Amino acid sequence: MKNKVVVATGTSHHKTEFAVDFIKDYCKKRKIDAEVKGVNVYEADFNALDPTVIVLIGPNNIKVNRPVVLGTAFVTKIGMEEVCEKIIGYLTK
Amino acid sequence: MYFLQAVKAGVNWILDLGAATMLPIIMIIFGLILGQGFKKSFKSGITIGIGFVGLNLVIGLLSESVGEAAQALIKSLGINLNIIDVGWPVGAAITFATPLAAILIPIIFIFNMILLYFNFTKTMDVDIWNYWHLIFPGAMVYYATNNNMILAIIATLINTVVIFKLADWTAPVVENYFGLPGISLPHGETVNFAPIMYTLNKIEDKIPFFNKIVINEKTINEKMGIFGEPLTIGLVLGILLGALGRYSLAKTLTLGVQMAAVMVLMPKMVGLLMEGLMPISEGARNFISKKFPGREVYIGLDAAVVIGNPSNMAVALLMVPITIILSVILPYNKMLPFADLAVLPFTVIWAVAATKGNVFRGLINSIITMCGVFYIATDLGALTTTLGHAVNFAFPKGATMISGIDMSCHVTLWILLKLISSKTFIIGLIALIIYAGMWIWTRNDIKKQYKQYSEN
Repeated sequence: MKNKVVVATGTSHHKTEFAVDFIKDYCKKRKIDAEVKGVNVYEADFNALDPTVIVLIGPNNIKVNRPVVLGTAFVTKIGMEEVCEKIIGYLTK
Repeated sequence: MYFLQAVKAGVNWILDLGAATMLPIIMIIFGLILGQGFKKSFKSGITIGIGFVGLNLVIGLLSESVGEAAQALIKSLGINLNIIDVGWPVGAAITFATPLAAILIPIIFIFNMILLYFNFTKTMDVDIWNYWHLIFPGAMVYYATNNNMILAIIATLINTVVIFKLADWTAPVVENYFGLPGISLPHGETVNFAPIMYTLNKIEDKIPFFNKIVINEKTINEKMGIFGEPLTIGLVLGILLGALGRYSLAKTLTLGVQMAAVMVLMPKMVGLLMEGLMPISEGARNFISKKFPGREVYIGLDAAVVIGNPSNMAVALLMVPITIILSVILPYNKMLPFADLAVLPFTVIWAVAATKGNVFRGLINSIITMCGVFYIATDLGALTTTLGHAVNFAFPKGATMISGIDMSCHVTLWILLKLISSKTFIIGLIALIIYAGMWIWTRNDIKKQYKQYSEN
């Protein structure tokens, strides 16, 4: 089964897309095969999404038992690479 | 001596080139100073110039369509809304086009470093694009005082300190309610309303029955979502204006499409300006993270990071028609709301956050906010228009004044402008005392709410 990164945000669409594209590009550079998808943290059904790892930029209302990585670095644009490494850590476990 | 004169002449020559040519040159220099390299700096500088040219093209369309429609409205209904809400993209472009911007960008950045160094603020504003919100009050003061540069810089720094302190004060809300730890929102146009909104919430807490009403936001978003989209707002408002101005059906439909085009195209042009500023922001971020390693600071960001909150969106959607109705029924109002109807989710952030997402109270608070916005827009319309003309954002002859919901309508700016004139000083002083009083009265409310939040 393909790895799936779900970026769950309460931000504007533009900022969600930025985080998704950054993670996609980073995984590609590191030759990690993963689907990266942006969702609204307030509306998403995480059970149906079945993510390998969740990147959270917003309030933590997540009920599923999946690893959650704090993604505020993608809005501050500071320390994004470190967060990507954490995500990859879960993808390669 | 000759050298200084030559430098002065050179600086004046660059400033006289106009924003579309001047800013690329200045931004290339900034980029190089911040170590972004020539290729990156050159590309970003020219992108800013392209953004300005594109924005001017869209403003031409806005002037033709909305300007004429507002005149028709005056003729047919006698509603004299002669200040057009041209929207924040124009506000940002005007601000960056003033001679002050080039000076104030580095001044605000250095000032922020000094405040951080002395622990006067925890907010580290790395969002260079949104410096326009901090520079705008200075630009207004500059043109209100016959180009008094020193006073404009002082006013900018005073406003900046207030906005940073407001951002520090509200940061726990950003962490606990919006779920973004380590972030604050020094976004002048939004956070300036926070003391007023917390005061309203405190009063509402004391009103029997009223304090028990809680409304859920889900249905509102599901049923009204499409009406909050810029495309729909432009189309519906254009058709409405055309019909009320007694245009023919063909002209009404054309106006609808033209206004939808303005709403969609304007932010895209501004997107180019923002893209051009990215390398400068990156340079500033790198600089700050090297200079303040390991310090507990809030990264100051655009309020766009929190607008997705469902209660916030619900209130903003409901406020679109309410704002239009308010513009007509509010006595003495002169502003016709238009372009910034799309950014109501920003305007209402603190109206909703102060109530921890109660849509009912959020709506009441937002209506009160908008009343204030309309009166400030009416009061400052002439000065805002002077600012627009000064940087050559020309509007059609005999046409309207300009302002915007997210542009020159915030309380701290209004108080500053009243305080610098001897004629209005007393009004400014009274307003300052009331505003400061509200902030002092509610200063512990966020901490209390945070405590309740963690217990729930």
